[in-house]
Amino acid sequence: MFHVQALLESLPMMGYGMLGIFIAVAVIILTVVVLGKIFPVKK
Amino acid sequence: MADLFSNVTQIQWQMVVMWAIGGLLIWLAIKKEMEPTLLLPMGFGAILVNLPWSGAVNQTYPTGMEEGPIDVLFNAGIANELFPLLLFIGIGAMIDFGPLLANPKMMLFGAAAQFGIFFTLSLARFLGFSLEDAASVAIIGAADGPTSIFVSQFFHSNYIGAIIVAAYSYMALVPIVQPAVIKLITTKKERQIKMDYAASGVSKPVRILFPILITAIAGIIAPRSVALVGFLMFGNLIRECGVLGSLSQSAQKELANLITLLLGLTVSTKMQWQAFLNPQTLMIMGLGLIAFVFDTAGGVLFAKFLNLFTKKKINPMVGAAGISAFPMSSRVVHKMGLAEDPTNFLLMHAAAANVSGQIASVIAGGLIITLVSGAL
Repeated sequence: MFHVQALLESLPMMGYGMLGIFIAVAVIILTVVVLGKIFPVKK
Repeated sequence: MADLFSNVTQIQWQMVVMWAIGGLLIWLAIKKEMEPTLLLPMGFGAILVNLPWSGAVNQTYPTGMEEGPIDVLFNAGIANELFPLLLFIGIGAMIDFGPLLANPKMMLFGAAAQFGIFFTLSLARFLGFSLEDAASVAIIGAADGPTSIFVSQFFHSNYIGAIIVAAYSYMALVPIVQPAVIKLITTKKERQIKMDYAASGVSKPVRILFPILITAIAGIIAPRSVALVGFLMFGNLIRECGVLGSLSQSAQKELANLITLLLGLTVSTKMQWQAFLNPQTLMIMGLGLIAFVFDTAGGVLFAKFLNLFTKKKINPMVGAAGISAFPMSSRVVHKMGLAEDPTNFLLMHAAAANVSGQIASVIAGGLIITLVSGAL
C-alpha cells in the first residue's frame, strides 16, 4: 500500500529541485539588480 | 428502426457518471465562474467523448479504426506540447513584470512557493505512483495549467485528464484554499505587518533585456524548461518592445482565447471514463489540494524565516502570493491584508511575488523534467 523506499528515494529530488529553483532565482535577482544599475530610470 | 436506437443499449453507467462530471464542470464554469474558459469546454468535452461510440474520438469498428477530431487535435496540439507553449506566448504578453523588476528580491517567494510540487512528488511516490506519474501529479502544484499539461504530456502520464481538471479547479479555488492555510500558520499580528512601497520606475532597456536574459539563464540552468520559459518570455518581449503593439494585443486576446478554447475541448479526450473513473483520479484530486496547501505554506513559512534576520519585516501573507495563480493569489493576499488592517496595502508586493511565481513555476517544471528524466 505505502512505498517507503520510493519516498526515501524521492527525497533527494525534493532537495535538488528546491536548490535548483533558488539558484535560478538568485541568478535572476542578480541579473535584474545589475540591469537596474546599468540602465537606471532617467529622472 | 431498431438500428436507429441500438446505440441506446450501449450506454453504460460509467458514461452517465462522466456526463454528470461534465455537467458539474459546466455548472462551476457558468454559475461559480470558476476558470470558465477552460472548465466549460472541458465539461462539454467530457460529455462529448463519453457518448457511446462517440465519433468525436478514435473508435475501432469492424471495418477499421476511424479517427475522431478530438484525438486528431490532441495529437496535433497536446501530444507534441504545442498548445501549452503557444498559450504561454499569450500569457507572457499579458504579464507586466514591472512590480518584480522594481523589487527583485520578491522573487525569492516565487521560489519558496514551489515547495508543494516537490513535497507532492514524494507523497505521490509514497502512495505508489510511478515516478513519471508522480512528477505529473506533483506539477499541479505549479498552479499553472500550461505547465501541468506540458509536464504530464512529456511523461505520457495516463492521468492527464484528472491532472488538468485538478490543476484548473484548484487554481479557481485559490480564494478558498489560500486564506485557510495562511490563517492557520500566521498570527493576527503577523498578518497586520505593514510593508512600505516606494514606487520606482523601471527603464525600458531593463524591461526589454529581462525576457531575453531570463530565457538564457533558465535555458542554462534547466535546459528542458527553455521551451516553456522561452515562449513565455517571447510573449513578454512582444509586449515590452514597444513596436509590436498589434502583435501583443493579438497574443493576449485572439491567440490566448483560441488556444484556450481548443485546449479545453482537446484535453477532454483524456476524460473518457475508461481512463478517468478510477481510484487514482480521487487520489490525484487530493494530492493536487495538498500541493496547493504546501505551496502556500512554503511561501508563508519562508517569509517568516526571513523575518528572523531582517530589520524591515515582511508580511508573511505576501509569501503565499508566490504561487503562479496570477492575479488571483495577489488579490487574495491584498484583500486579507485590508481585512486585518484597512490601511495596509500589500497589492504591489503580492503582485511582485505572484509574477515571480509565474517564472519560478515554469523553471520548476523544467527542473522536475530534468531530475525525473535523469532518475529513470
